[in-house]
Amino acid sequence: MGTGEVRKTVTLLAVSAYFGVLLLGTVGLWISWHRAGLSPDQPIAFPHTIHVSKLNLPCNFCHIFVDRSKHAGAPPVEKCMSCHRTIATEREEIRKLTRHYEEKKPIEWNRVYSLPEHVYFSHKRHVKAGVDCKNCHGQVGAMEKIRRVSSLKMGWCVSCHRARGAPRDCATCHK
Amino acid sequence: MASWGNLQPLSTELYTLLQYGLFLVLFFFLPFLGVIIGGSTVSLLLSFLGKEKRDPAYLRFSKEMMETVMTGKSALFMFGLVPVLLVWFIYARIFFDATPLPWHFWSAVLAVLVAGFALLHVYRSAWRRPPSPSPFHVMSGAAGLLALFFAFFLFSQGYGVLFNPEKLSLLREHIRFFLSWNAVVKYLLFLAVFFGMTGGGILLLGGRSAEGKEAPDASYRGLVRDIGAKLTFLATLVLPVFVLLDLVTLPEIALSATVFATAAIVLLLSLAVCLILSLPSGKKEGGPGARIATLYVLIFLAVLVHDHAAVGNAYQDRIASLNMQAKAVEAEHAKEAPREEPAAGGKTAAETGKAVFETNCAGCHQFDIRVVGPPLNEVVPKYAGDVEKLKGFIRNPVKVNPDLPSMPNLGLPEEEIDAVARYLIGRVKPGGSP
Repeated sequence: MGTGEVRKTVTLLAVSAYFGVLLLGTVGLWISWHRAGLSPDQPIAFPHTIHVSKLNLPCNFCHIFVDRSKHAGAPPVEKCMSCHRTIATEREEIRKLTRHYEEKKPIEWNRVYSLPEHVYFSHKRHVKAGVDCKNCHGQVGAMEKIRRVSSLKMGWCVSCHRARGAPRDCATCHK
Repeated sequence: MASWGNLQPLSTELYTLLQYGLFLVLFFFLPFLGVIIGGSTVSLLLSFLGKEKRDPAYLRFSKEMMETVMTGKSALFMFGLVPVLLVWFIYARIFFDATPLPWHFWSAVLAVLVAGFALLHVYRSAWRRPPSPSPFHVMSGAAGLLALFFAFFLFSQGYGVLFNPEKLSLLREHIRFFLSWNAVVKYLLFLAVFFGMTGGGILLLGGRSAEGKEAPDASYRGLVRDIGAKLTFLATLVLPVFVLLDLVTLPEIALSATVFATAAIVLLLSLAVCLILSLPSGKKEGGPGARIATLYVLIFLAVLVHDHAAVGNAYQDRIASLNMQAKAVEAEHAKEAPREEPAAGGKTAAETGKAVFETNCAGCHQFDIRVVGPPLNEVVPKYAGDVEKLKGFIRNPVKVNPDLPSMPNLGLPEEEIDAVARYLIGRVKPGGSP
């Protein structure tokens, strides 16, 4: 009688503890994903939807260094102001932009795509090789708020290099 | 060329319909296949054990199991094969403009499924001759079961592609990219659900004879319930591990609060199943069968909702892009309809040109002052009345004045470019005044 009761209690406790640990694991993964921040808030809510899809601006209209440098570059505030001195000036986000311009204060955009320091990556090379921006950045024109769509993991880089016959020796990316 | 552009614009409604279609097809297909896989495994193991232990009760249940799960040929065709064709169609239509999983892949899945069903059918028919099937028939059953495991493995790998759009462009070039750890985890996760479901089914229905009457022998009923309970308990203990591994192996973009929440729900439901099974069943008739079976239906639904949400996240920007393209196409159609009217109503070329100007150019250009672009009264005279040259610039603008932002390519149709160029040349006289 007594041993039966004990065994029952032990089983129940073991099962609950087992599931408890797994649930904690799930919550842990949830938190770590949340912290990874695929889509960080930006100082100004810039909509790529309007600029890319509605106005048909090519990517390098604003990211002017994309085919000339390692970095695609965020446009200087003057570039934004060249149109927004007159367009949509009544909007709150454009007022923020104007304040940055008048105070000569650069906009501190939050990085969405960043690589660790030991990785050498050049936008210029990839653009010259004919890799479409969409391949890594997804359908930016459909993103109201920009979201990272690639893992940027080494396996991902290497898979594409292999598929396209691009160089794969270590020194290509790890200088 | 690796690119995932050139998407066919689908209407939002059609897209939603196909997405839910996939959900519905899987909702019928997976349990059907799952119970066949689970039931056949149990039947084969029991026929083996029954011979070892010389226990007729094992053999009897093995026979019952097979007769329950292997339904008629038409049902196998309808629920076992047709859904694969439907999934093929849905894959081809929604997620990829040209499906990167070629017809060879789907044909292989179908062929292996058909072979598996046929071999299992041979095994099932052997039970008609008592007392037990010959080694040949058992071998055929085992081969059939292996074939189903393999077919479902292939299917899972194809299913896994849905969760990782990053691989799509690679997949077009190398078919080997279609293997992924996440798909392996999903395969094992579904197998755990299949065995849990089978166990739940045994608890609910097991111990009855084929005619549906309650089996008279209480010890036989006890054996069946014991098998059902053990199978469900083990499968339910393993299931959450795969749920967690699924979260680990899913690409970051496929994750969202819904995906985590549904995973937690699966865990809680599994906990409930395990608790019910480890509590004493009580002496009352009926046992935990109904509760376990209901919980398993909920677990299966939660898993499907989980996957549905993950696919939605992974393809979020592609879906949004398709929707935008569909809207643009609709707007284009809407524009075309009234455009024919002015021709009939005799709208002059100048009026059309003016309308195009107001809609597309006036945001940045005025005639007398600089807005975003330069005043037209200054720049249009440079063309000296050459309409073709101006059309060339509108078609493909290049930077002229470094102090101004470059003009974007507006992508206007040829007749609008013509109309607006004529309007501008006509309105701004070479002298400089309008």
